[in-house]
Formats: sequence, C-alpha cells, structure tokens
Amino acid sequence: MEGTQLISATGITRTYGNLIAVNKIDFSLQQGEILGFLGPNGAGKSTTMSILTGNLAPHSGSIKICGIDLLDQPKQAKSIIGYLPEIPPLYPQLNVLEYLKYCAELHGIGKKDIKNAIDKAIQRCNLKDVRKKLIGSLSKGFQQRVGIAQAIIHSPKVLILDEPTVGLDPNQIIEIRELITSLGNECGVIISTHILPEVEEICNRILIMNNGELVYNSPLPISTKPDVAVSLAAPPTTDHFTELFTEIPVIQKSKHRFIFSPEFDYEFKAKFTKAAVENDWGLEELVSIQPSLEGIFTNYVCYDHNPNEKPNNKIASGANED
Amino acid sequence: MKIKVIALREFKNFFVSPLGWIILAATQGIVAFQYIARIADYIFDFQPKLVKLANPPGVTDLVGVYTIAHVAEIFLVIMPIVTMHVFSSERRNHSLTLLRSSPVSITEMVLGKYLGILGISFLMVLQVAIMIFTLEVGTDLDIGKISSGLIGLFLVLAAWSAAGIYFSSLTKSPATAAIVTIGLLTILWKLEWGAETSEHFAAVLAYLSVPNHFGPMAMGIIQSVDVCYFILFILLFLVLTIRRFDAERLRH
Repeated sequence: MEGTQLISATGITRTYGNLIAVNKIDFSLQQGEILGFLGPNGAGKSTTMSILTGNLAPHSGSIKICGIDLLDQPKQAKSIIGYLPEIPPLYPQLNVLEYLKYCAELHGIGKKDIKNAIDKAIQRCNLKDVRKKLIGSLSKGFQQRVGIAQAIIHSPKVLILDEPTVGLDPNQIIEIRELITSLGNECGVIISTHILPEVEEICNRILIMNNGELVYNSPLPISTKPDVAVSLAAPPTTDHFTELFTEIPVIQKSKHRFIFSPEFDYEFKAKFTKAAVENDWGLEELVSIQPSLEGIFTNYVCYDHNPNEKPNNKIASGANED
Repeated sequence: MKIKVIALREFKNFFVSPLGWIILAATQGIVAFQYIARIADYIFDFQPKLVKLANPPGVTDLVGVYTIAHVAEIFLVIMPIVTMHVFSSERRNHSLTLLRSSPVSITEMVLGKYLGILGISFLMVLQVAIMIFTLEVGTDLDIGKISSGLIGLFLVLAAWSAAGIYFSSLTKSPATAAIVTIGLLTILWKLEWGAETSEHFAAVLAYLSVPNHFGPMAMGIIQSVDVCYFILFILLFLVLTIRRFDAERLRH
C-alpha cells in the first residue's frame, strides 16, 4: 500500500476579510506517511486542517481524499478522515463510552461492529479505567486521549491531529507518540505541533508554514550535509552570489550574514574564500554548520515586526486618547 | 439514519442535566396549578349558574379547552429554555466540530437536532394531556375537541422549537438565545393587539399572530390554513438555520 496518494491538495486559499490565512498551498500525503505541520502561531496551520476536514470551505483550490473530491462529495470524503481539532470536540455531560458510541454512530458504523470499534479505540488510547466516567470530570490529558479515540474510532485512512500532545504529561506524550507511530503504519497522519523534537522523532516529512504560505516541504531525516555560514563586512547583492556560485542555494539572514547549502562544504569554503579576497568583501566569518530542524525552522520563519505595534507607541497613543 | 442518531442524542441530552428534569417538573406544576384552579372555579362558581341555562357548556369547554388555551402562554418562556442549548452549548464546548467533520450533511444535523427537540415538545404536550384526561374519571369528555386542542398545542410548540433552534445557532451564549427567542415569540403572540389598533396592517398582523391560528384548534376546529401557517413557520426557521451553518463554512 506504500505510495498510495491519500491527500492531494492543490492551490488552497482561504481569506478572512483582508487577511489571507492560507495562500495557494499545494501538498500531498502518501500512505504510511506521518506529516509534521510546523509554523509559528497564526501561520495558518489550524485553518489548513479545518479546510482538509471539511469544517471550512476554501475560497479556491481543490482537495482530494483518496481520489474523492472533498467539495463535491463531502460525506464520502469525511467518512475516511479522522480529526482531532485543537480543542477536542467533547460533550462534558456524557461518559466516555456514551460519547464514543455516539461518534461511532455518527460515522455510520453498523450495530454489530460498534462494540468492537469502541473496544479497540479504548484499548489503543488506554481509556479502560475511565470508560464509565463523565468526560467533564476527566483531566486534560485524558480528555485529549478521548479526543484521539474519537478520531480513530472509524479506522480512518487519513488522520489529522491538531497539536495532539498539548497538555499531556511526559509519560502520556511518549504513549501518544507511540500510538501515532503505530497508526502511521495503517493510515496517513498529519500532525501539527510546536515541539520540534517530537517532529524529528515521529514524522517522516515536514511542512513549514509561515504567514499562510508553505515555505518548506521536505522528507525527514533532514540531510546531514552541513551548511556554510558567512559574515561579510561589505557583501555584494545576492544576485552576484548566484552568478558566481551557480546552483548553490543561498539564504540571506541579515545584511551581513548569509547561509549557503553547497554539495561539498570544503570545496565551497575554499572557493568562497578566494572570491571574497578577490572582490574585497571583507570576510569576517566562515563556518560550517550542521543543519538542524530548529535551524531550518528559524531560517524559514521570520517574524515581521510591525512598527505600529511597538509597546511604546501603544502607551503613547493610549495617553493621547485621554 | 444519521438524523435518528442525532435526534436520539439530543433527546437524551435533555435528561442528562438536572435542567431538563427541572423544566419538566416546573411545566407540570404550572399546568397543574392552572388546571386545579379552573376546576375549583367550575365546581364552586360556574356549576350553580350553569343549572339555570338551557344548553350549558360542559366540562370539556370550561375546563379542558380553557386549560389548553391558557397553558400555551407559559410555553412562551419554557420552549426557549428547552431550545437555548441546542447549538449554542455546542459552540461553547467547541463540540460542533464533531458533527461538522462527521459524514453528516448540515441539513441532517439541523433536522436531527430539531426532531430531538420535537420529542421533548411531544412529552410536554403529553404532560398537559394526562392532566386533562384525568377528568375522564368523573365525567364524559369530548375527546375529539380535546385532541384537536392538543394537536394545536403540539404545532405551536413545534413552531417555537424551530425558532428557538435558529436563535440558538446564532450565538455561543444560551442565555442570549433564550432571551431573543422569548422576545420574538412574545411579539408574535401579542400581535393581535396591533391588529386591533392598526387600520392598515390589521389583516397582516392578524394573520401573523400565533393565537389566531392556535385559537380555532383549541376550540376544536382544525383548518388547513392554520396547519399551513405552522408548517411554513417551521420550514422558515429550519431553512434559516441550515443557511446559517452553510454561510459559516463559506464566510469571508
């Protein structure tokens, strides 16, 4: 089954008024893949997940779940998706069994199979001891697990989990990670999280979103080829670099600092030093850096600081209003 | 099938919280008070006078019809309290996502919820019916006339449920939903006043007013125009609710 396309999303766009929450995103999910969705708060991760699960309609673009168009045949598509939103959709007044039975019925599981499905979900999420307790009286960690049980009760082919390990203690986090890894063998999983080691541990591909755009999409583990960071006192334009070092990707980190991702770092370093001396760039630093997920994340996610939102300005304008 | 699942869940939810039982108990208490007061009136006040009449009205009219007609007014407050939680609590709990990501259409979701509430309305009509049918022990009732009144009461409650569900779909706060519903239902109930004073809109106001359609049924006359009024009332609010959820998915 490895290699079957579970989700193919093309050109998804969603706006809220003038704010573009998600901008022309394309990606796909294969069978057996665990996709890590990264990005700062407000990058559009949750919006994208809401769109993928049919909770929100995209303003343009198309989504196919196992070849079924989510917008044309929402019922068929939704029946093979399991979704755990950021806040688990629980009914505090029901006990765990009643709640899971309702979820199973909503997904159209037949009377004969319901008991099996519930037992399996309860066993997988370790809910046996609390199955007759009211959901409202459970701790956050247990509620989160009930949320996951709800998402897997109908054995979905695609599992979408929005920050599944939030609010769990370290042991529970390990359990949930193991659960997700084992689920990843049966279906495709998309998880969003802020915990980078978590992604490195369980995901086999990462997507990074920033300001509604997909800025990075690559398989894990990330390549072990080191990058080269250089600091120059009088740097030329980036175009000039591309002219000199064709086919070597470069990212400008600040006015004076650049990061190159060459094929062989030693060869590149020698070449660069020579060029720097010849062109009088004022070479201050030249160092190999081992790429890490954290490094990738900070490279691709830059925070835009709006000058109007500086705290000083706020206080000043507040004072003026009086 | 999915409609049935949602309807049953909604119906059961009503009994999970103490609120449901309190509402049923309060309803029974108020109906009982109205009913016993009327019976006392009948025994001590009306009966001696009725003897003098050639063709006097019976218990059915003086107690049964009267109770049904007057009891409807207390549901102006009770129904909105029953319906206020339907969607607003789901919004507050963030549990609406469960229904929205399940293979259930918005129409099925709204109809399911509505049928669940309809079940509770039916229970409430039953509460009134049981009380009135106790008269059967001591006297002969005009079953047809009473049934017509009860069908009328059920249609009124069904219409109000639809309105209540709509307002509950607009907000996160059950209290807001209840108050807005009570407001609208009271205006529709009291439109008659406007009909009496206004020259130009008298016909329109009279047609829109709920008692003008419920009144004949309480008196034992079921007319298609009145039944149509209630069906249109229900359809209007159910369609508005469905549209509301559709718009939410697409909202810019």
